[in-house]
Amino acid sequence: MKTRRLWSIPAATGRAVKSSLSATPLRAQTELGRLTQERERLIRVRSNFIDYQTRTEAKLAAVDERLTRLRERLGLQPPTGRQAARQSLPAAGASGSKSMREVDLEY
Amino acid sequence: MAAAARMVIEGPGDVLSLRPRSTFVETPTVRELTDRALIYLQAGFPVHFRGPSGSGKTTLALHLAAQLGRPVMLVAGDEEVGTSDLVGGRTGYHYRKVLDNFIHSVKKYEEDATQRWVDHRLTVACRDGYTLVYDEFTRSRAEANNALLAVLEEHLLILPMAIGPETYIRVHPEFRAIFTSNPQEYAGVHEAQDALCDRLVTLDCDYYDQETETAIAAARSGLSEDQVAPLVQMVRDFRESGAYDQVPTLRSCIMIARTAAMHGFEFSAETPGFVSICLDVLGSKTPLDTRNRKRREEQQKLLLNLIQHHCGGEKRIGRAIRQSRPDPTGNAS
Repeated sequence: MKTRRLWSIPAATGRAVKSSLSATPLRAQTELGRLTQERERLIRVRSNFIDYQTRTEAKLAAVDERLTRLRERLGLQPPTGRQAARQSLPAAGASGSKSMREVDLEY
Repeated sequence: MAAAARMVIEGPGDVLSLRPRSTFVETPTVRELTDRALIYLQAGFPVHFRGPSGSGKTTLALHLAAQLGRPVMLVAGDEEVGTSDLVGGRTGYHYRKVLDNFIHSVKKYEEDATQRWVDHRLTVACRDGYTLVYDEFTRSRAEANNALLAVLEEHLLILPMAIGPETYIRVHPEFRAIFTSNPQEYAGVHEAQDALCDRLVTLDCDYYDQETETAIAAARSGLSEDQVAPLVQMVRDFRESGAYDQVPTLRSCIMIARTAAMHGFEFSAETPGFVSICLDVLGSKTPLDTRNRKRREEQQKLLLNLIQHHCGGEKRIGRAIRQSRPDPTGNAS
């Protein structure tokens, strides 16, 4: 087994540190296969997540449209600025900025 | 030892969600002005409400922002406002130290200094498509508003070089900007640069019509419109007279109406408390000075006449005034 000295070790310890990178070719092959499978699994998860998000957005749009029609039929006012703002707030983490605290202001 | 400097982005933390208060009044005049402004905002142009103090610019701007249904970032113009107050800046560091002694005889020491970058309101509004309300923007120095020029024209926020994590931010398509300013104010204001004014659609706001002022004064005082109508007319007449240094506005009507209503004073020239409130609120529109004492006395006489004319009680007004306060002229009656 090939070993590699990573740091200088005092001679008194008489030990060397083995690196996980210095593996045998067989172990490296196994690791390669495992990581490849893991990567494919993560891509599937991401794809499913995007599909789920897309489906949710479509459902949300349909619900919004139905709500609008119902409000019109019942003669109700559209949502106030506060409700509309809350409804249209970007999803957490979607914009890159930190989560925002919502402060109500009456004018 | 390893040392590194990175940027961490943090936001201003707060976003406003606007809603009209229960006493908000939307008369045809208010609606017409709102609709006019909405046309420009929907077309992607920033709107600028320009008008004297007390003409309802800020409330109108907030009402307009609420119509857009997006979260709102409110910025107040100020002498101290600079570019970094609008776009963001560096505020301190995050330090991290790692001492790895997993193997007892080996020490690994790592230190990481991370610079903290805080996005301010303009940057967040541009990035996330919020509505920016810049109240009294001429109170900020003209050069502080330079970042807005590219935002409004090229739809690009240009961050100062080497202080931000990114140099350019593409403005979100739903970003809108509403400005207010008071051209008559001379204390603590600056001239806006032509380049910025040229990018704004400016709508002049004058004092509201009598119907709107009456409706607002009634809503804010909790009284009926019939009750406050004479008071509103009196203040409007006083405004027309020009016998003051500071223009009496709708705020004066609300102050008088609410205070008098709270203490149960009848809106009558015969009620000393009511007369006293009127003289306090409206009489102070001309500063008391030994050099203009005569002018102040004339203004007070005018006010008493207006109170008498609009709120009645001719017979006993003299007694009510004497009861409300000593003779302003100092003469024995």
